[in-house]
Amino acid sequence: MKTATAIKNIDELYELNKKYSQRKEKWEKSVAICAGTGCRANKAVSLISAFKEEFKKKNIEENIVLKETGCHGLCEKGPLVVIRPDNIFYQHVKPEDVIQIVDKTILSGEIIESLLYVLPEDKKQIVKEEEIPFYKWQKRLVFGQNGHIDPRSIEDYFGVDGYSALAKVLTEMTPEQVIEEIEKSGLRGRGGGGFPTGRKWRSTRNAEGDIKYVICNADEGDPGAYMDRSLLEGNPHSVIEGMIIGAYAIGANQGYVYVRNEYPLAVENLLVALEKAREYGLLGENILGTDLSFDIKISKGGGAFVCGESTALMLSIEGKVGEPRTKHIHTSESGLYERPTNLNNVETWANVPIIINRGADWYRSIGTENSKGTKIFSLVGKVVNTGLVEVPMGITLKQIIFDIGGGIPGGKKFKAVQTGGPSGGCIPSELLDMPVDFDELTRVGSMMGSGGMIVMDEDTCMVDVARYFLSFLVEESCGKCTPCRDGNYQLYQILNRITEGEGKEGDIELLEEIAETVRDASLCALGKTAPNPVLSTIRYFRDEYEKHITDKKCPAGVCKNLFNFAILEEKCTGCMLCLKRCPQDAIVGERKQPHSIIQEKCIKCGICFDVCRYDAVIKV
Amino acid sequence: MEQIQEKEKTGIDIKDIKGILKKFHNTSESLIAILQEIQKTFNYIPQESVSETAKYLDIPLHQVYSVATFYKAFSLKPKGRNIIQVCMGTACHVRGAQQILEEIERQIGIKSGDTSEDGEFSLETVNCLGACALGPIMVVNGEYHGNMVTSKVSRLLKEYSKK
Amino acid sequence: MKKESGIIEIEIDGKKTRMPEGSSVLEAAKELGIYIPTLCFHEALPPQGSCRVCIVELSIEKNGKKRSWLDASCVYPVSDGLKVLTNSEKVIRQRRLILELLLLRAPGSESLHKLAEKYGARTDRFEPLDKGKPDCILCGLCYRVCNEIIGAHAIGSAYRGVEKEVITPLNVGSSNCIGCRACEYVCPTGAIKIKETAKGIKFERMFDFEITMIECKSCGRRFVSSQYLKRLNGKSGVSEKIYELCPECRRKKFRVSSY
Repeated sequence: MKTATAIKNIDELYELNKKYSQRKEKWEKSVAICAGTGCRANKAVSLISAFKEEFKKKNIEENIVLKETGCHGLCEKGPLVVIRPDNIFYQHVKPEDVIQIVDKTILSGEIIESLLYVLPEDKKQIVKEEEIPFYKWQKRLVFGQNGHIDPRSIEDYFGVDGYSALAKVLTEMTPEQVIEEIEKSGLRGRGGGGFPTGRKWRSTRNAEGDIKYVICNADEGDPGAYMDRSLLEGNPHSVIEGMIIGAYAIGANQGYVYVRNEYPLAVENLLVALEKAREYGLLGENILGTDLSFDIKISKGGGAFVCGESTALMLSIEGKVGEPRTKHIHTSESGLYERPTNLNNVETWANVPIIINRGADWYRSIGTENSKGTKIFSLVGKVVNTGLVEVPMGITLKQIIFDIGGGIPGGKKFKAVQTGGPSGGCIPSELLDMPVDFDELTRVGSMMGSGGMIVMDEDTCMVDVARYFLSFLVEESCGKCTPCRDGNYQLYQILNRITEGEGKEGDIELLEEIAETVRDASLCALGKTAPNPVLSTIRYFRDEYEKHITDKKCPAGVCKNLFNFAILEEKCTGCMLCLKRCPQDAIVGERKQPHSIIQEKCIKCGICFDVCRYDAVIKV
Repeated sequence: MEQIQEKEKTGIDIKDIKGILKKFHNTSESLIAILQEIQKTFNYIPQESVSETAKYLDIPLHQVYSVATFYKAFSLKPKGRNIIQVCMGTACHVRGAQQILEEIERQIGIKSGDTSEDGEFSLETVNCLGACALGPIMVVNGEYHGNMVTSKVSRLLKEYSKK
Repeated sequence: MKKESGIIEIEIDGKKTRMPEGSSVLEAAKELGIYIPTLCFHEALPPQGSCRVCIVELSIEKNGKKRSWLDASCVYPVSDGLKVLTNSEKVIRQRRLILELLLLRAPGSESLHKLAEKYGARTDRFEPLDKGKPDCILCGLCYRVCNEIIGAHAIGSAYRGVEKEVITPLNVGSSNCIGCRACEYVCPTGAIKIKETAKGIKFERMFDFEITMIECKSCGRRFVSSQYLKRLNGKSGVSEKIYELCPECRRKKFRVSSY
């Protein structure tokens, strides 16, 4: 049943594109407030209410538009407010700042210096968003609209040429031509596999069967990676449009978005977007007046990282346990309900409308020989500018971490960067100048994965990192095959022993032996890539393992049994704060006299280290 | 791992369970969504709901049970009044999430995955919440507490047990 | 899925054989009389490739480049140009480790020890494993047979990863199990053991329920469960009274009356 607003043909769509694009010009100003999950966790909701209230009071709701947008990317500086069209960028905004912002900046055009971004090296203040190094060095093709549109407004999406790629496809291209274009672009899966997208579409199209499916994998399970979530929260229509184009090319009439259980806002915004798309006749029967009928269902995960694996994901949709199957028969031939299924990651789908609109040739001009286009990374951990960055393939690690990321906080030294999540590896400082692309990352013992990039400094223990990833993999292994289920468990037990000071001669060789079998004999990609963290840390940080095993010391001061907290006499002022806070009464000392820690009582909780205001507590 | 074989202490009304089931299509595709709704309503998956769901969807009981125990979102035991979730994402980990977790375990006296004797607190670890700029993060009853340090833990726990 | 017709030639341990398309490497090896150990494989069920004991080294040469990898022979399909090694150094080494890991789960299984010895598996390299039911290697054959072939749905899997277990959920076994003992029959390690009791049969290990068998009206032997009779209810097309007698007594009775 079409509603009154359903678009009947592409001319009507182009009218909407024009109307809403022009609408932007009519606004005097717009205030983009980041309402992504990260900023919401930092009270963005109160900020938005404060703005709404103030706007009402000052009666400016008509001419100044408040835009609750998706994640802007510079999460470290949130909550973020950007006043357009001048793109005045305010960071760490609190509800108390709102009155000033409205009075001074919005109504009188004055800048509030205390809210500006400050360059760490020379303390210079930057006013405009695009001049902040974090943004300046990025190429935000896919992520760019996140800071501009309200994800719950399909009209905003129309205003940035939304669904015009779909229109072009449905009226100017055959399904075959669409697949050719995607193949030509060189687009590779952004979820981790890096499989050529066009080739996957082609196999699914060629598979036998009348009923076919397209699926969007939004299970994003890599810890530290939240690009897909932010895309779905901030620009769900870009993903929907990609899926409809894919369905047309492949010959599918039903799509699913499989979203992680832990992403309620993404699900909410996606539901709203799907409803709006249906209202406008962009989903359902006879889309844009053509023969294409297609709709999308949302399927939620139940909390299982392994359901990011395509066969496990499909079983999960079917209401079964997420135990992957062997993939000798590809899912493009037999997938969901044993029917031909094309599964792609969120970011992969979001790239499709861009490729269609701007052409495969243009897309090929970005990136490296075998990795075209851009990639969104979540740059997190020990880095100054924590957030989401989109860069062309081929940019170096150094550029991402230092030029965009702002380097390591607290003057600490870079130690490693972990990419590819639990399936990836750690890359040391010697390789910082390497270009980032699918094949290069694999070559050095890591992988692109979904785009998580965890920066680690001198205070990170690499053996502990391996142990951490193994504990994650042991928790998430489905348990079907012996090498992954029981092999990873043994890897974890050994790493545990090592980090507790019970490492033995031969442990590294045993780790390598078990890792080889887990890598070669496991049934699915989770198992096959599980040894990467331990193998890459042994490869680049073997000495750290040896120190743990032979010297029983943790140089980074992380493994509790392998270091001690101590109080530096010369720095201790005898303030007794640590003494009072110590839960074990393990600190002794008189007021104004240097304190000391009774090692036998100390449980290494780290509270004294946290509370000391004089840097007198150290790790030895 | 024990299965829950004892009769539930508080009577769960089958009518409430059936009320939830009716909202969904009776195909196995609805199974996970049904269990999520049951988990949200009762704070766990009661035994009766496993059998009722199997009947409603016309699938074997062992399929419902294997799904209810495979996925982390579901719990066969009731959770505590306050649910604490510590993000164990990699970014939070390098920022000290393990220490926060151990401090909470120490303060409450339970291990992650358990509920305290008095039913006051349940402690779980969760995979990345995607708010990495605020790591390490401790979520209590859905409320985010970022930039956690071990010294803040005991005060925070006291606040919640008072409410 | 369509099963395509076509003949594929592959090479295993230097010997060639031709198999119909869709056959597995394991089937091809059997044709050649080459032994590959298996644990989770059973002819009655589609192969799972989960225990990974049947791994072999595979290689294909394409465009002058040789690619080789390991995979489970019970599931891997034959394909043109495929070369298989069932006992290469790599295979033996990794198979041995897999058997060592399985021995941690099934230290009391004589059959597993015999198999493991063949590959030189040791029992002293790892700490004992305190997970899972005694001698269960989670091959899944018992519940797959019970559910997919017998259709009794008395047992299933629960939890995941290293905590995965085979259980009878909510003790549904006591109402659903028909006492056919197929699970015991297919178990490769002897983890499932059933004994006959005064009332019928009881699981000695793995599960904790008893199935009462009905006494034969003639000789008094306990021979079938009431659950099984319930299943047959009306489906066999013969009078229920026939099942008051055990098969022996039935035979005696009808031999007499048929002439």
